[in-house]
Amino acid sequence: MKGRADRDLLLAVLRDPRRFRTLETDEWGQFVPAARRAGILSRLACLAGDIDVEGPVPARARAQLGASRPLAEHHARTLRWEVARIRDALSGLGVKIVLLKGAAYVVGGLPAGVGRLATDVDLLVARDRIEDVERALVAAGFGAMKLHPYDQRYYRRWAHELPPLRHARRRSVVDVHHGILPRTARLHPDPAKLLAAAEPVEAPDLWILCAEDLVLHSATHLFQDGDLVGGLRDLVDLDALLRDFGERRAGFWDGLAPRALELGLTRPLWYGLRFCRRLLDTPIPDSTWREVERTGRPAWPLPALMDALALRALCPERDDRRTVGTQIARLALYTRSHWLRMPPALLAYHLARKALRAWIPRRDDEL
Amino acid sequence: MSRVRDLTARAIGELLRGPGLLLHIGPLVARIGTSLIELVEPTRSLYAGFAIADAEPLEDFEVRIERGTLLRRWFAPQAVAFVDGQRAFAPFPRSHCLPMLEWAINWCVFTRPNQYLLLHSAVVERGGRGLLLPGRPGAGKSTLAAGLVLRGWRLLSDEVAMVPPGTTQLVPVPRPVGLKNGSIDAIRRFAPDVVLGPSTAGTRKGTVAHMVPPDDSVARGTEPARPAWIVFPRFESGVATELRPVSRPEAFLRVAYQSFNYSMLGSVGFETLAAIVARCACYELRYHDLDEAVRAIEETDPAPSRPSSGARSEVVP
Amino acid sequence: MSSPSWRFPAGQELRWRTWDDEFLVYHTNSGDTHRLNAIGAAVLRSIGRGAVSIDTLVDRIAEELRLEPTGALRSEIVELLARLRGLGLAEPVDEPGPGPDGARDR
Repeated sequence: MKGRADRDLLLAVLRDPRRFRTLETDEWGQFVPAARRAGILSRLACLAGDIDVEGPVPARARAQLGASRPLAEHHARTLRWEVARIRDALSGLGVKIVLLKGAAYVVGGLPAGVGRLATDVDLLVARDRIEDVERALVAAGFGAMKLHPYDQRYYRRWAHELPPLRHARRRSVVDVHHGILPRTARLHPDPAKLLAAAEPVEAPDLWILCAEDLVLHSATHLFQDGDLVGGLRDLVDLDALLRDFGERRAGFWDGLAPRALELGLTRPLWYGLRFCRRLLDTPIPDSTWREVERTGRPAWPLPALMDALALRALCPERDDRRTVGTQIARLALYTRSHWLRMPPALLAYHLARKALRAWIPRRDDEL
Repeated sequence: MSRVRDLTARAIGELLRGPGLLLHIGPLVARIGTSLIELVEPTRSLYAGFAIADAEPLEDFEVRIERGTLLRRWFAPQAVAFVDGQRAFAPFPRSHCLPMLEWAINWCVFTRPNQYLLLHSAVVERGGRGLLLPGRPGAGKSTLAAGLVLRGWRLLSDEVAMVPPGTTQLVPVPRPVGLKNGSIDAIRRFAPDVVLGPSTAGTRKGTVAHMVPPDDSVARGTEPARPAWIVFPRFESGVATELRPVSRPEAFLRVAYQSFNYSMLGSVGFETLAAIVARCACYELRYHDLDEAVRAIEETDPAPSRPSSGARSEVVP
Repeated sequence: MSSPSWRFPAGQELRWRTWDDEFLVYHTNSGDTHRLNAIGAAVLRSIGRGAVSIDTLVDRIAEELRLEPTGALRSEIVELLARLRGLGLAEPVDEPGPGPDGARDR
């Protein structure tokens, strides 16, 4: 089977999980590895649990789906426990702690958290409290992972987060952010606005971003903060958020484009909605889409170009069937991701140092 | 049901090069493929007794060993392992292709079937009583398992004990038994007419060879066993053979520590392992001489297990 | 001498297996497996029944295990409580608890 057939199968099932019932045996043989490679097998297995998949599904396929669930359950337990320990560590500080990404989805009980593989906890706190937070975490047993001094300086000066902290005994990792994009990036969503609009989960101590901001963060993370490779998982998150909020929260669709405008995130929202619609059939109201098009559509030739690049990157082919086209696409997106994160001069410096260090052996010790 | 030995070498070669050889390995189905011609004969002999999964062609994992890319195809030739189409492990010298095939399959068996509790342990059985031999690589579990198998014990596995959660069953996953360095000679001395696959020198773990699993063990690959005892092998040069009892909590923690997915299974993992350990007499076996070690095990009757007392669950609100 | 009170944090689940006088405890919320001796098990069970001051704890355990309620026993219990706290299995009573596991009902 060609690589593209893998992808089409995956997308077909994502659009309509009832497809599980109609897959042929050889399609299962393509589907399961493709889903695993995309990091979404356990999520699909959990969703399959909600649909009656007895009968037409081969017993072996059912066993494979079942075998993917324990890891996700373990991750969810671990996330919840880590969040509890972190909250304990920060409880005396009077700091508003906003959970991001996986931790937010799982602790917030959102469908996007179902079957998710993630154990790092991401937090957003006000920049002026970040030293206090770091100190409290260190006192609770978290330590800075030893980084090359250049990376340390990069994090503290330019990035939107502390270098990751790892717990000495539990080996868990917490990423403390003071923004959702690096300070050097081309877009500057105001963290203060995100913090102000956050909603309580376990008041008074834990918060998550409001619905619109969760969506915007997800889209921004995918389309502004990385190179999209393997990003199907993130697109699936975005789709899950959109479907859930679209259904449950009155006024969500109307508020999305204005909020994006307010935070300066109209471009990533455009990309997010466009790809969700095209690849995952996310039901987006026309009025919302028209508004997002008006405020966020990039100039020619970007839409068509990104279509070609992103599709290849989001659902990468198997290593043994990788085409030149995919490799070019991935290189282009890798370059783009750095371009988006830094101004040209800094980017050149950064890439030059990375290249230089690749030639010089270094110790990457962890505490 | 056709087995690998029913096929001609040519047919096997074509399958390996093409869609892959689909084999039943215990409850799992592996799809094995390679374009390396030198792997055809060893695959055929090591897996001779294994059943071919043609009734329902769906695998649990696919392992392919292919030639290295570009320059490394001919110059200091390398080979690459693919698992489900993804590169797995760093490229390796082409001469190591057989051990790498086995290790890649091992990796799949250790990491995929999380519907089972997976313990890093050899498993053999005699007279309806299963023996677990847990240990890290180098502890001597494969050697001891091979020795027992050569004395007529059934082989369930040389590396991984598979336990359906909530049960105390040991599910077989018989494979060629991997022997390293001194073990190879020890086994040859122990049983001079043992059938071993080709030896490969210079691997990360030294010299590696594989013992063909007995046909009977492979044929009974769907028949689980009930564990009766746990023996932790500790191979040490020059020591006298000594079988000493180990407390159940200690045995539990040692086994859990070496499990592939104990943590992943949460409280179900805890309960399942506790039930297994409760049924078993637990020992540690320090040994140097394989003969004596095998005899020590054969001559010890695992005491009819005293069930653990005071199993209790509390949920503190 | 001050005698702070300790308790078992709310919403934690423990599973026990006892063999002779050794105890294995599985803490479901954290996924940790602990091995406890008689004193450790007694302390954990005791605080599980309700908040208790250190003085009371020392007396209770001394009686239960037929030990002398010495300063050494007290030190051992205090140290044990500190370790249990680090593991999320004990908390001093005057502090607000962190809550079970932060999960909202779906």
